[in-house]
Amino acid sequence: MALNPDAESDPGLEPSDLAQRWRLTEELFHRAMECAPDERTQKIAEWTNEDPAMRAALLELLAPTCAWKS
Amino acid sequence: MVDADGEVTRLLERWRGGDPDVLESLIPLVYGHLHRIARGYMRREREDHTLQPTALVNEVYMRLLNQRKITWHDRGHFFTFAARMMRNILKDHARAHLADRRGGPNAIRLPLSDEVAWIGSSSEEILDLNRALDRLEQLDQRKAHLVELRFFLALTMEESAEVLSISLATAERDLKFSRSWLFNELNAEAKVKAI
Repeated sequence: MALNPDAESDPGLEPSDLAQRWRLTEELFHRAMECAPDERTQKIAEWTNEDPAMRAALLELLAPTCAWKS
Repeated sequence: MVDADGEVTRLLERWRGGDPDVLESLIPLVYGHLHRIARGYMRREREDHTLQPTALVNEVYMRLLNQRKITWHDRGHFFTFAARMMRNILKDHARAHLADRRGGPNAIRLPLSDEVAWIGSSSEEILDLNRALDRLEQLDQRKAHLVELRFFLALTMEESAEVLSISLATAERDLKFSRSWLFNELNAEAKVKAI
């Protein structure tokens, strides 16, 4: 998981960076949820062009939402 | 509602004012709510579950009675405290259950709504959920409290939002994100154990 408070999971991330990253992930998650399902992957790729870790985290978070009613 | 007529709020004000007898009035209000949760358990329970709903409610009741030294700041503090207590009891029971090696799957049922039916109910899964919630609390305390209120105290979204003093829309957004995050955390734990 890309967003985890454990130091081992996020070496080098300061707590303030982690908090900022958490907020950004949440914001992008909700933006993605507002997109049509077949557009999400492309939109996320655009939003996270230079941040593959963020892209992976978002895709991971969005994957289960396909299985339940949002 | 958890406090539709403001009774809990009034009682907590008396508590803060130093009235030592107020707990006897306050606890039954929560006790009634816990009994409703217990009835929810009964619909889901298997007969061989080691922790019966009535025993769980009694455990919460006794622990609340022992909290005389705590000063609850407001209704939200009180209900988040009660939710954490419920969570801790289930965690303690799951640990004891595993230690006894007498348990199998489905030893405990959480009052989980259908929206989180993917969370298992074995002792190990309950402990995994607790660890994941600890991590969520480090990242976002409000979301962890929301999950506790929903999952362990079985409050509705409206009640949970009211307790946390946030809008219903914010609560729904928080839960949606938390649900996905928890799902991935628990899956990650399962994968690590499978290695």
